[in-house]
Amino acid sequence: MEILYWDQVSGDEAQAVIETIIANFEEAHPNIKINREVYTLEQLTDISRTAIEAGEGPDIMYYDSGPAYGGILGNAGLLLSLEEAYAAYNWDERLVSVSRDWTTYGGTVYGVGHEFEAQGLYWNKRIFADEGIEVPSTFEEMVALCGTFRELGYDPPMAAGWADWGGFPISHNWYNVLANSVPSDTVAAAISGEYPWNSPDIVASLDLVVGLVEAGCYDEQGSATSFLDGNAKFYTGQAPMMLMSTWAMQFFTDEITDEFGFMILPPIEGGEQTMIQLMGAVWYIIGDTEHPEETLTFLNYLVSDEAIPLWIEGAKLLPGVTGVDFSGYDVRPVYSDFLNLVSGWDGPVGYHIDVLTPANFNTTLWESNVELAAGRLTSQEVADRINAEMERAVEDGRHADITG
Amino acid sequence: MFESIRQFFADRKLRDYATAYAFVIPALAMYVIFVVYPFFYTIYLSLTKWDGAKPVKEFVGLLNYQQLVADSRLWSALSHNFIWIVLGTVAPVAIGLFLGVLLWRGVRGMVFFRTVYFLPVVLAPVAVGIIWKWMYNPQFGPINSTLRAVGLDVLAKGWLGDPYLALPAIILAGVWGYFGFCFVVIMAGLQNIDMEQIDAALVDGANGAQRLWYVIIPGLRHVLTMITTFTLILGVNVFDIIWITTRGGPGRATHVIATYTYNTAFRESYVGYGSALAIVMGLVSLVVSFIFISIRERGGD
Repeated sequence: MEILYWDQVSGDEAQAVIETIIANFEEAHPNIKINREVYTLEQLTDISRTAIEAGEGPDIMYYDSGPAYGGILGNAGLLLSLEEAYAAYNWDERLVSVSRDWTTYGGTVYGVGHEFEAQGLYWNKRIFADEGIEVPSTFEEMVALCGTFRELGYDPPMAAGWADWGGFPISHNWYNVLANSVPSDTVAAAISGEYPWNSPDIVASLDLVVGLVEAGCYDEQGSATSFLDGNAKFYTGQAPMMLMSTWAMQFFTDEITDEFGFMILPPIEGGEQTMIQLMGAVWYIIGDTEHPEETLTFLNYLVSDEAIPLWIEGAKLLPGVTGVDFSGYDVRPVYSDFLNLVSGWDGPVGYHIDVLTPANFNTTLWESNVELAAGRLTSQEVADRINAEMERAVEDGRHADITG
Repeated sequence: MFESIRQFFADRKLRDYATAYAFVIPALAMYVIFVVYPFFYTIYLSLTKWDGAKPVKEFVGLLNYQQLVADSRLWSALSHNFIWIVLGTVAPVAIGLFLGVLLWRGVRGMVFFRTVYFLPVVLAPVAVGIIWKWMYNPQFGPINSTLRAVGLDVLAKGWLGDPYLALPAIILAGVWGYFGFCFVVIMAGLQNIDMEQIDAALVDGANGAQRLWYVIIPGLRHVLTMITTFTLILGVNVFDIIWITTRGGPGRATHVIATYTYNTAFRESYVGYGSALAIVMGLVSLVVSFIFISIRERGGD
């Protein structure tokens, strides 16, 4: 029998790893053949709903979490409930808790989270050493470093490009700032529609992003530069810093000789240093699959002990599993720093906003943050816009309640 | 029964009708399936609140249309459509007319010019978008590279990332992809200009501009009205080149009603509201077409 798997894994090394995992699975289960088709997130968003409803969808798909993505499908009854599978495969113990938390829609868990990530500050160790510059210990120091690096001729000091992802990358920087300047329970209340997004504390966090822009941290052509072109300035040593999630580590290929550091965003005055954790994407099984048992077997294999070393060493992606001993893995120092950071983190954990907020909120936020960076909107105006979108989503029942 | 069928086919008039309907029905069926049914279904959806996935569509009457009135994003998108309609209509028609008149009387290499000018028209708008996205690339695009090479660094911009420049930049790309069509149609129209009128104008001492204004343009009025109508409708429905280059960004600087509709219905999953937007877009197209077809018919009289 055959299972159709829709995937959105990007990056050559990650592609090779998933192919290897599939080959290993098929060898261990000769009666099951996995047919993998690769799409982008955008394509999956466009076609998955219609395809599943028409009975032409996959058996399993690797899609994003949250009300804007998997939530739409889960709430419409298009996904298979994994409540029994979590118990049968002991996933509640084997997987990190956010795997269940972030894939539960309407009280039912539908997904298994993967690509456990954190957001933070990358820095180029060679450039910092060559220029005799200390790694910033506070957010304010980091902002000041932008001016220092500008004077030294680094343009931009902080790699970023948001031309093709509609303001998504600069908004990620704001999630980081928000998490480190507003308490997590307040942010959770805002995500749940119980706290206004245009409150002074949230407006102040947007002002900090404006501060990054005004300090010259970003490329002046950021809104005309694609996400990958923008990030490439960091990989190639043009930009000494980058605010990004650990997802970017898969692009540290062997050709890149510089070594990099990774840390959680330096603490903001008056705030508490907070690690934003997220699941990069999620495996969902489609509700009307004709092969639920075999598909579940495949899903369990994807997070099995056999697959974990391949994910970590080959794809530089961290599976959302618990109890992994990272010490034995042969990975780049920056990745090992991240693994150790995650396993040893006991500080507060913040929220990656757009996987928990509805799509209308996200598009308005991303568009508005681009206008914020361009000086066409004030922080208050951005906050008012997103607050209005959250009110609309709450009225339509499209928000996630994460405080209950 | 076979006898009545035989009699039916023996009747020439009935046979002609049957033949005519046999040709018409397949096209009509396609039209009903792919145009009429979706049109009325979109009207129905526009009266509902639906996320595109849930089995139940909540009927809300005219609520979506009421919300449209106060939707600043819609008005912003429509204003961009208006700019596109004005610039995107005037520029290609004017360029096509200028080049047509220039080459009308025959120049060496006429076929070459006609081919070169028409070449962008054969490209899909998606291809035009990709080409110009590369042209406008702030780091390695030919436009900025050329400006830097001649010492005009100050003019090198992030063309598609500048909220003030992005829309004009895309319109320029659209004009590049379309003026060749206007040129070829105008060239064809020029072949019907009465040369005796041109000669008479010359005898009367009319200069070039006067001949253009008083003889050539009136002689091209049917062609120009046809092109203008066609271009205006394209301006209302423009989508692909914008989606490929900026997706409506930076921010909302290049959203037109089609991109906003797509975003609302398929990205934000507000299918009911998106359907109401689609109906508005259809109405705008209809009104624009009606006005210009009326003008054309009046001109014909």
